[in-house]
Amino acid sequence: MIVNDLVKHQNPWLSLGRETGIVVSSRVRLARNLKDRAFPGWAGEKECDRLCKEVADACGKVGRLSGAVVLDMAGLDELERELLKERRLISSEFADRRGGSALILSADERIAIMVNEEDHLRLQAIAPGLCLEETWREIDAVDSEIDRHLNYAYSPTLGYLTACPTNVGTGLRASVMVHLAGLRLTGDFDRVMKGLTRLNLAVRGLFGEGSEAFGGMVQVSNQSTLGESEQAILARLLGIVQDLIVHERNARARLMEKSRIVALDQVSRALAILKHAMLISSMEAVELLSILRLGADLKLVDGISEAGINELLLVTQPGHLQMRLGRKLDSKERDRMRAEFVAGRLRHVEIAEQRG
Amino acid sequence: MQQCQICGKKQANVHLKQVLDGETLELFLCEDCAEKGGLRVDPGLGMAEFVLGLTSAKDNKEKRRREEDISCPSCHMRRADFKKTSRLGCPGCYDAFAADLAPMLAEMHRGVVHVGKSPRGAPCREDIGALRKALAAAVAAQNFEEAARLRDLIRAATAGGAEAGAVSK
Repeated sequence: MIVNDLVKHQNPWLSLGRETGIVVSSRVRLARNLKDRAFPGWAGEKECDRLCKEVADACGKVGRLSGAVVLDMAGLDELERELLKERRLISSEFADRRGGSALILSADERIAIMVNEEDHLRLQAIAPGLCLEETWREIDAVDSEIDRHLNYAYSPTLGYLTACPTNVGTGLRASVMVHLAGLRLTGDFDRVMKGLTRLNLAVRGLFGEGSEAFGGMVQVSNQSTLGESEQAILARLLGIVQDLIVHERNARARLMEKSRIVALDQVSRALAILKHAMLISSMEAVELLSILRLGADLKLVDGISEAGINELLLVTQPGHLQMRLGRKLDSKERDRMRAEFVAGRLRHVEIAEQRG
Repeated sequence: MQQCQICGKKQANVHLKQVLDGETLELFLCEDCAEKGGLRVDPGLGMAEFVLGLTSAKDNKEKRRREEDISCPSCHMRRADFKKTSRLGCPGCYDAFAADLAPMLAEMHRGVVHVGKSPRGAPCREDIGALRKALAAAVAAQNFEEAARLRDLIRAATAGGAEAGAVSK
């Protein structure tokens, strides 16, 4: 498998899982480091190279990772990095890394291990819908297998030792991507976001750190990693996500009861622009597809499923768009190609209900 | 009536007492000398500066410089490097910069002692008895930063109760 082939695959976190109307995906990542070795940000290049090989060798012995590919970051071009980032297989920070770092990717794209990002290993499992427990079990098993072949840096009092003290302890960051389009339309979105930050949770947009909550797509994750077991961290996050689902479901129900015509208007406008515009920026695409996704959940739209819209959200991103066409495009060209591509995909999509 | 210990003339009606590095300093001053020394007479304000100003500003500066110069024996990251990047150099830095890390960790996380998964063959967490012994030793050595860290560890371990005890292997 090479990066180019990924474009042809359906990304696993975009197919449908549980609670998919509102929850897009769940992800659990673990930060791990090797004993007595400098962290990647402080280690020399040779040391990083050596460590990369050791980790790749260890991963080669892990059953769950048979058939996985090891991608040397130094060998990837800009587009390939962008593509991996958009598929949420690597972080923005990692996309800028060159030599001495590698991505180990399972054949089904559910398990991704960044070697020498901020920590020696960043292991993630990602899957569609609400499935924190499942993704945790998956990555926990991979972690335990790797542990048999490497010596992790660990302190009995501080747990797994990480380059940044914000990750020490369990090294676990669990995150859930939720689509809060209903709360946005009812105007309750900001209030709910404020509530989340008060609960000491990190809130980010669709594409991770620094990205904005376009289209009501929000990633919610735990911040504290020390002093609580993995189970306790996951349970608390799950409880909060379930509350969010209830809020969003209520908002959608209120919309349909009290302002059905407003909802219908928003969805119709979004569809009209997506089908007929000549230029669409990636930001606008996310905003409009988000409303269309809400329309699909509310059965206001015929001819496309939520999974289909999820896929469009991904393939209209700059990296995917350019990879599909096999060349670099400037932003004007991209906007043009995006509009053309979306219009083609939505040709047979119609509003399900007549006005009135 | 006590006279001012600086001018030796006026009546001392400011009584300054501070325990510093285990030593008790006591001064009786008149209001004028107190003000000349930069002491605001508001209770509890400016006292530390005042005392340090009168006693050993030089020693103190040196001590501070020594602290800045702490570096990790394993990876040679200096305290200043850590302060600048907020990233540690290696696992050993957790020991080297323990005094800096303790308040940061307490601020960032829900607890200060690890609960949860441990690697294969990981040593058992030091029991609370061992922590208490270490605390007593730190107090005896007047290493108050370390003592505070240990106190927090013990507090967290005992407050965590059943959960903290049950999970580690």
